[in-house]
Amino acid sequence: MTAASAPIVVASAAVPSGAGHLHYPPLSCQLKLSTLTCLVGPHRAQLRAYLGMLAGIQRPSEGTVTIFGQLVNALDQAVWQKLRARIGYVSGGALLLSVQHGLMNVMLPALYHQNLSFREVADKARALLTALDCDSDPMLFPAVLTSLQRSRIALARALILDPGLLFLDVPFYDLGAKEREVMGELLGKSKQQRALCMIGGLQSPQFLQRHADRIIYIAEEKIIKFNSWEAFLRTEDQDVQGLLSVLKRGE
Amino acid sequence: MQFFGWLGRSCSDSFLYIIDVFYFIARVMAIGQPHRNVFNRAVYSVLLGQLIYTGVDAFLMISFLAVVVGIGIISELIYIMHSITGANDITEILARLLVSEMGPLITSVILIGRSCSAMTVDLGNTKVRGEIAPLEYLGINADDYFIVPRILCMVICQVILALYFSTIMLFCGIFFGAYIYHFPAINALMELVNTLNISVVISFLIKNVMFGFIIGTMACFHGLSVQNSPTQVPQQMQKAVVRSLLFISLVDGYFFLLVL
Repeated sequence: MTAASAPIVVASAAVPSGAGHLHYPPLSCQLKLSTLTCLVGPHRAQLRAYLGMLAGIQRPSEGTVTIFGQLVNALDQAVWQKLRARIGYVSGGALLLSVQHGLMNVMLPALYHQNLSFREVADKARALLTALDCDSDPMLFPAVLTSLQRSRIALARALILDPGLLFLDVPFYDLGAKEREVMGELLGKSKQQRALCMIGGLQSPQFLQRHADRIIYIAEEKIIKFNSWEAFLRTEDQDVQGLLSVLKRGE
Repeated sequence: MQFFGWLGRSCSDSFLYIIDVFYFIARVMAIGQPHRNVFNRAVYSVLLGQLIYTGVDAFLMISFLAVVVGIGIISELIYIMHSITGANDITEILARLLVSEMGPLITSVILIGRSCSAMTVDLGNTKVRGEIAPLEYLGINADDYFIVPRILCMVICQVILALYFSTIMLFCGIFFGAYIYHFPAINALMELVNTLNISVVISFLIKNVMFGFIIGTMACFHGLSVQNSPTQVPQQMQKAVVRSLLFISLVDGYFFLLVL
């Protein structure tokens, strides 16, 4: 197995420690470099629990999750903290720090983790914002930015440490159709050097059609894996078809 | 029976609150642990920002109050003591009561009203909006980034502002008193400086460090105690202010007993 094809995340019969009344079936999957895996299903809270588990935010209650060769179940706090610097995470709603301006939001992870000067980090952040076509004034605070501008800054913040793994928690939240397309292009570009895993992908089926390498349908009683968007659409599973019909009605 | 039930609940709540606060302090102060990283530019930038909001921006208000208190209270006190006893007693009272008591207390009350409340609201709103968790997912420890610089800033500001307040208050009071009641101001100041020995200075520093630590800790503890509702922000702010005043009064009382 070459380094490029080696899985970055390996989940073996892993069950997230989710709260609430939902049932969590065990998940076995691998996230590889330059691939996008999208978790879909009827319950957002359930999907978020699986995403958090694959991202190493929460330990699985059963089974194992390995990220960059490190078993998440057995990580101590110090190793976990270092591991986090290698994993990007974009939260739904692009929850930037509202008391800091856009540039500082992007700079924060690098200022915290890397021993670089303020100027070096600022230059790196500006270059990243330019690469993401962020046209807003970087010194503006999140409150005065549009949803797309906030999403771009949140993506830049997640990418400033050059992570090999990027998790997207509803990246198209609060974006219009055109903005979803723009954001989808940016996410498609950032897929090249890392593994991506997301929830909320059904908000932009075109994006999944173009970029998704694997779609994992998660419901309370079952998990079904598909190798493409087309395979997902073609399935005869009633639950998946039910979810797709809800999606079509929403359009 | 209801009264005893209420009393029991209040006692157990207070006990649990004290345990929570001490656990919070122990967790935040454990900066030597391998997963902690307080010596970085992100924390430094927060510290600088807080020093400006809490310290530099408060200078004008502190100066104004120091002049008012100096003229309004000290000069009158000087006059009363001067007419009853003699100059030596005046300097001792000034050193004991004003420098080591009033200066730190008034400064801490200003910081509680001005910065403790603001800090609690700031942290509370940040938590309610869910802005802390995404930073933790990126490996930024919330204690390092949000708490340590705020507590450190509060300690630094309390020490410096109390020193500044006491100095301005004394100068204004003595010179105004000397001008109105015709006594030698330079002599009174020299006697005062001679009264201030190393133990007074150390006691002043320790007291102000503790005051600043209490205010910063209360602000951060109650700010992060906000769960998921915006209505909890003003509630926690009130608790932070009242409990800061309470703990400062207790510490001040303890110092008073030590001096006795």
